[in-house]
Amino acid sequence: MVDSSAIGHSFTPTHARVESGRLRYFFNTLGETKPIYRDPAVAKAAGFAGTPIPPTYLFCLEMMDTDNPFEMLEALDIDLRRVLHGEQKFVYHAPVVVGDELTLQSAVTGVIQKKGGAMTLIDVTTRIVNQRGQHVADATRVIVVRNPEVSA
Amino acid sequence: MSSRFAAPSVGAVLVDKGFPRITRTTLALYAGASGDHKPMHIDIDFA
Repeated sequence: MVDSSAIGHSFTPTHARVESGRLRYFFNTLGETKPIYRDPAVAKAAGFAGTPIPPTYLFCLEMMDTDNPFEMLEALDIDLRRVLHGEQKFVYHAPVVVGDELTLQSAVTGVIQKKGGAMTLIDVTTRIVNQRGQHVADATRVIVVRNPEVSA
Repeated sequence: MSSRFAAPSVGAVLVDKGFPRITRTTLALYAGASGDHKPMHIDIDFA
């Protein structure tokens, strides 16, 4: 079972480039048609340096561009079949636009046991910095792990 | 940045929007588009 000794564990940084083609496929899949996401002129008229990413896309970039999407599960010895993605939070400090090159650095920032250990809530916080060294966002996810060997 | 939205009152409807039916194809496309390749989203045997 994951315990508080995991707090502070950091993972291999992910380097991701915000590419217009991948982003267009994402919008087509979602059915997102707003011009601000597709037309650089519209985005610039709204004050962006280029077409912005949608708020949740930082999480997608980390999943897409990591060399090992299961690094966290392997490092903490978590069975994928017992995992749920709970809360997800994004705090933006600056816009992220097409063409940006980001470094995403994740670390375990919290571990809470629930129901006498039947469930563990793991906070993973990701610090995101762009190609100019600007700290653009922090993303926090809560990973819920069921521990069926513990009876509540 | 200040909020462009007024504080909502209890019971206020914030979003009222319908979406097309979610199919296995939708999920497969989203798995590719989002980079979430975990097998429970795309493999019914695993799920």
